Amino acid sequence: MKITWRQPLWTLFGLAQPLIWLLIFSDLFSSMAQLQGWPTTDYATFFLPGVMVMTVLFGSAWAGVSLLREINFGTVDKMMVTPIHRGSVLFSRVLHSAATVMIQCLVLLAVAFSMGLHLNLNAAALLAGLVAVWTLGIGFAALSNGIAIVLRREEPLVVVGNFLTLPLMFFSSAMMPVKYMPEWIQWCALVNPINYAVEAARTMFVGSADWALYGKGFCIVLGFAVAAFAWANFTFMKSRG
Amino acid sequence: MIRVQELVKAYRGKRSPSVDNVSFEVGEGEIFAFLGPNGAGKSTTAKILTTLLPPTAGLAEVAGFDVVRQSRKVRENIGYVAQSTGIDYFMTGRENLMLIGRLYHLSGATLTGRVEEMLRYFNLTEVADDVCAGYSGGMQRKLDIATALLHRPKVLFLDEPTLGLDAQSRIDLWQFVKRMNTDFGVTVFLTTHYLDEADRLAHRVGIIDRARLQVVGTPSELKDLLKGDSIALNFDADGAERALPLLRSATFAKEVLEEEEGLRVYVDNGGETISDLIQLLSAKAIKIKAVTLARPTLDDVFIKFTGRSMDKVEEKVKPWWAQWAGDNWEQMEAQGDWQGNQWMNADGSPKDENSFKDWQQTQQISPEAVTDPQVTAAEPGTENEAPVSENQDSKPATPTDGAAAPAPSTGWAGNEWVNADGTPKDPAAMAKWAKEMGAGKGSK
Repeated sequence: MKITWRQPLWTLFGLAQPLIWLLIFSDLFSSMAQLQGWPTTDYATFFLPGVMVMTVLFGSAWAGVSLLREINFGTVDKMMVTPIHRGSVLFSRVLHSAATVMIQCLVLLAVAFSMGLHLNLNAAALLAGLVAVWTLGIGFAALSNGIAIVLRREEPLVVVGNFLTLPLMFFSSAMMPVKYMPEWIQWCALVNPINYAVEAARTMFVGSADWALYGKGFCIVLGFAVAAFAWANFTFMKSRG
Repeated sequence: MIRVQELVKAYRGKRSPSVDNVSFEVGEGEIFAFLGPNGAGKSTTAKILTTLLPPTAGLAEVAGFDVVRQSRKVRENIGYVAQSTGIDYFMTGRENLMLIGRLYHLSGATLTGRVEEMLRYFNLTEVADDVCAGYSGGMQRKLDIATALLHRPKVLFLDEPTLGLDAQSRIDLWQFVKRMNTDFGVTVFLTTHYLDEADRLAHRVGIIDRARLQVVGTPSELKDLLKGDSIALNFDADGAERALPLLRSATFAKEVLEEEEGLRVYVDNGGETISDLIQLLSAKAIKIKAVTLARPTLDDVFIKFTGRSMDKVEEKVKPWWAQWAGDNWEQMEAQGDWQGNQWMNADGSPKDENSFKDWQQTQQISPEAVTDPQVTAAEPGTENEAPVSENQDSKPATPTDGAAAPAPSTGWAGNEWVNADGTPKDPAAMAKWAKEMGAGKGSK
């Protein structure tokens, strides 16, 4: 099965955005690291996995827009009359979207090193962290595609995308550890796949790599991604009948 | 190559099926055209045959494979060019071809060879490395067809291939389709709402209207069904009015139709009859401005089998507010006839009360005539209901009897709507009729 259907066409603008997030938020919340029991020495180090997940989230949430466009252009029909496996029509889109945000994450990681953040230097751990983030990206791109097919229009998709991403972000430990949050938000974080992705990535990137914690987080994220894709593909196939 | 039996496609939430009990076969190497107005069910049929849509009922086989159970096999053997181009505008022509080729599991030298061959075949070599966004409509369509031919399909589906193209590109594309058909031996199934396209391109034509296949045959077979030529006549001043009764009673005329520009006479042998016709008219000093002798066109065939002209169907545009009417629109449209900008009765009078009064005036109805008791049925106050029901009861050749009974059903008498007692339904004609009767044998 060929994945290289499309030339990667993303622009470099996307790359700058997460860097700006990282710089602004690190400065903005730098005093938070002085809180008692804060897990890392400086806020930027704590925030790096969060910003990565954020990038993935924001990048993948709009994946459905291009699907709608290509359905209207007839590009999707053109794919559907070729003898490729039909599930791969959607899967390749999701992979493409996740691959795009992955590049952003790699750049982010490189900048983080050059900034002198106290990261884990274990290559296996870094790779594992990226895989967790990438899996989340697949899940969210699939979710976005599925929602796009249900809504059938770009405008409401943008609204729903905004509605989902920001709360999901704040209801996770991306910006601050769960233990500082109000109790009800802690409950929200418990069912938030983003939270597990952040936790899994953080334990790999920062400090001692806790593989048990990572395993748990990764399994949940993987489960989410598989479920999201299965649902998206189901709605996609149904919409064709 | 294509075998379709009793195919039905009904969309959820739609009252009538989009494809209703359609059966036909297409032989190997044939160019087969599905001709019909927009929304007739052409594209839906094409989508079912290309496995993009599952049928609701019936059987469809393409290249010997069932479109439902062996859809993968079908897809390996077909090429499909949709109405919307589907090529990637940000890629070059060559990249588009390479990409689609890979999707057909072509690779290496075979792939590059085929891509070059297609670029050459469609005269696209020079622009192969330009981004497709800069291509003309004709070039984009040719590239689209090229991508659909890369894997040497047995059947090529073209959905409205020349829609939106200029005249030169259309003729250009027709030649390519004909050449492809002979060069590659590919069977072509195309849908179109252009009569000339079906006429000039297809070996056989299927006329589809309102979800049903009305008739199938070669263009000349279909025209022969009409058994006759038509003579179109244009007149100066009142020539048409005076000529009409003469022609109606002439033995050579099989049928005389009133048209906006003049009269149309259907005869068995146009060449021989035309001199008789001219003699007949000049004997009465009726001056003819122009005479056109025409072999029947596919439009005539379309009228015969569907009871309406292709052009009329095309012109019937939904008003902008139809979208707010939603599902009700179909129902509203079925009850009344929306003609361009207003609801019309069958006799061409507007349904709107105020417009109707204006219309009456233009028809020069004398006030006494309007108050005549016999005409009350068509008076402004009640016309809102009355003509609607007439309209439904007595349409000439409704869709269901289109093929079986092209002849007008009750109510339509030659050239006007008439009531059971022989009075015309048209208010103006009614007034005239009432006067004549009054003059002849006293008030009725």
